[in-house]
Amino acid sequence: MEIHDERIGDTCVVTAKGRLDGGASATFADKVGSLITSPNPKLLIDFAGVDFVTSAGLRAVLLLVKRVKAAGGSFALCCVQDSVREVLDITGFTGMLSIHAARGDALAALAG
Amino acid sequence: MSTPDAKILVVDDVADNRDLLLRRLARLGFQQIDQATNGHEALAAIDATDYDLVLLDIMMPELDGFGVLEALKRDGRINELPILVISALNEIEPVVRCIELGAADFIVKPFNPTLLRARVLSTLEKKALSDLTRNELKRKQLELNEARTLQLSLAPPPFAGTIAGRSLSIDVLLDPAKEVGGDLVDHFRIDDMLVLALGDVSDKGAGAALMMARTHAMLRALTARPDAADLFREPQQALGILNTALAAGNDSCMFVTFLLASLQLATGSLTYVRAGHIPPFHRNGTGKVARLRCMGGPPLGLVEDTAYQADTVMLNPGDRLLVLTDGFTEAHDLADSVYGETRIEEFLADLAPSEARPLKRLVGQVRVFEAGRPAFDDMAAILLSLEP
Repeated sequence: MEIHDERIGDTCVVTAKGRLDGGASATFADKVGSLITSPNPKLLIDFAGVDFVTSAGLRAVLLLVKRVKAAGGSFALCCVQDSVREVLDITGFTGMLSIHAARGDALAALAG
Repeated sequence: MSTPDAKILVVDDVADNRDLLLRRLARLGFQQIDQATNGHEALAAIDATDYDLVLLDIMMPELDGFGVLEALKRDGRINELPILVISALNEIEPVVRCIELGAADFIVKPFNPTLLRARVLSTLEKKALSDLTRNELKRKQLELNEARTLQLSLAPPPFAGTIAGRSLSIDVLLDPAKEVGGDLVDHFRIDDMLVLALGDVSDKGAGAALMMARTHAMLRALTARPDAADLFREPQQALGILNTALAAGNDSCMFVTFLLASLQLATGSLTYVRAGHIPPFHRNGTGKVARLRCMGGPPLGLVEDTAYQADTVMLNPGDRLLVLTDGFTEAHDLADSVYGETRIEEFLADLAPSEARPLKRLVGQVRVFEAGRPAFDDMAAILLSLEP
């Protein structure tokens, strides 16, 4: 899985590409987790390039949400592909995460 | 294996060479030294004794050093038994061949005492380390095998017969992807109800197995409570208790998708709660397959004090209910496409009433689809069939 990060305003935007499965999830959680350094961090994960997520991958996302919230920050997910969205719907994660269709919407939500 | 406990075999057809080596080794403190005069004797000695090191001459009558190395390579023992090849100073090609055959190192004649000591001791040290690693791996494998046996025994046996006047069968399957896994499957009777449970921990391996065993134990503990019948008549109650217990202090964010259902045996009314799990497959008597999609709430272990929602459907004689984990639906073929849910629906729609225990066949179909790829995830399934 490829992970790229950039800073847009005060938000850390992570672009992930590939499959977030059992093999990739621990590295994903560690790498993205290491970007959460400031107090009240804002983390946006762009899932446009992610075409497959397992429950181990969902757990990695949850760990990041927990970490961001513990630091008093906020978290959002955007550009989720249909197949991944289906997994989020079936598992009930849609109601637990802040998910936005476009990156702009997500940035606006994190800014507000 | 340190001196002087190491067992060493010296193989050389020249008595003077053997004597010299024996004396040198004895001076280094080694006390258990055997000798052989050709390759055949060497192989016989290696068969009989668990050596830590063999000093092997190359040119010998009967069977030479190459022959010994080839024999040890053939049966794999070369990986466990270090061989130091003895060669004359001008023999480089034969030494190279011996190393290629798997010899650990070489020493040249006439023996330099310092070099001999260094080679022998370092080879023995390497052997001791690899023995340690191998034994540790073996011990872990034994432990895991035992854990697997215990975990598989948590799954109840299948059932076919009549309960409370209703004729039915239950097929059960549990197949962890590694030695142990995070899927759980159970069924039991409480009062006038049959309870079905299927869970999937958000990972696989030993950690998931502990979470699985914990969840299973708590579920079974609920059945011993005085209010068990009430808890399972409204399975959202039972699931709520499980969730609260699993969510408390769950820093690892490990979660369990779960399907808990209770069937009123008298009426065929099935009340189910789906906690983030794949919607079960319901096949009616005409072969039509529908999905039980009602969302009962998030997976267990994530949100404390969740109020789960139940839904109720009627199961009629001839109906079947299949609940399974994503080890089936997310199995991958060589082109990375998934097995999916349509194939499961087709399998269920085409089931013949006479087929006993069809879940094994379904796993077989998934394995064919995977075409030799390692199992994607743990698999668990339960199939309830009400006789017509």
